[in-house]
Amino acid sequence: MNITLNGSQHTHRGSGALSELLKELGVNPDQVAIMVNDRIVSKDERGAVQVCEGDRVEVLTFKGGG
Amino acid sequence: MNPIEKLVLGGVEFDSRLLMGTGKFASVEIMVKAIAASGAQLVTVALRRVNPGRPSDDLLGPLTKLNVTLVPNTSGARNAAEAIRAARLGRELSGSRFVKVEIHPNPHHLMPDPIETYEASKVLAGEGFIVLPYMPADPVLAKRLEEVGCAAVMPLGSAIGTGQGLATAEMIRLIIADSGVPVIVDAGLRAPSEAAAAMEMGCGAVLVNSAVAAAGDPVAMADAFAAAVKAGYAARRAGLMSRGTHAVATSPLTSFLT
Repeated sequence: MNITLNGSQHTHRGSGALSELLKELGVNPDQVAIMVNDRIVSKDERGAVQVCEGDRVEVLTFKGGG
Repeated sequence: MNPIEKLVLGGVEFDSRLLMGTGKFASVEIMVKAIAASGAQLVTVALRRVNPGRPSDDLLGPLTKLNVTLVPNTSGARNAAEAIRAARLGRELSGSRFVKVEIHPNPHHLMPDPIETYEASKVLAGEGFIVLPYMPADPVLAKRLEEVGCAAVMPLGSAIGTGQGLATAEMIRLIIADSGVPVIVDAGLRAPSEAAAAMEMGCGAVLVNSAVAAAGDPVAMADAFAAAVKAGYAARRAGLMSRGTHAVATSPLTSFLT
């Protein structure tokens, strides 16, 4: 399915489960915060949220900053 | 001499009065060593998009091992709504109630937007965040931010990354005189002597990033800032002598050689 990931088009080849998407992206689930369609998905909610065609997904992590 | 007091922010006590940023370091390894040398217990981080397929330097792991309290900032936010969202995302990732509200829409001077900063701080303090707002050195705004529940106020010494030192010193003195919360000078410092001067003026703490990260030896500079903050705080506690306009001799002036 096609989604907008961090502002760019991305073709997700899994079921839409967030765990699958994170695996596809090669990121550690403990090191990211996720937003789907502007809604923050908490770590507890991740199992229950399914990404759908056309969704806007943001996957964020900490970088150096002052 | 006044007793040593802990830095208290939102009811949480800290021994160190030096806060550190994590930007601009040449490597995570140097950053970790510099933070350890600084003795900082509060460390700021920024939130950014991950690069899919490109494993990036992990900050969370090394910072967790340092046993510091993370202070996610809201840099990148151009208004209150974006800052509030960034703060909530930062809390989700860090598990920390601390947030540095940082809204500077103009990349040319990076001056904080006072109106958006006020609005975001008000909402976030209401949500239970321990809000540390990066702000212009304005005594009126400082009081307003205190009134909406900010745990400290963080006026800039000079523009971010300029190393121009305490250009706003007189405004910071006015903020300190009226403030019921710790005043933390954030941004613009270059030399440890400036950090000492801020503490001598009565600041509760100092936040540095570029001054350490861009130093020839960041680890040694972090150590120097830690010493300077301690010296400035000790001098404040000791009580500086009053400033005079006329010379006052320290030795007897009686002639005895003629």
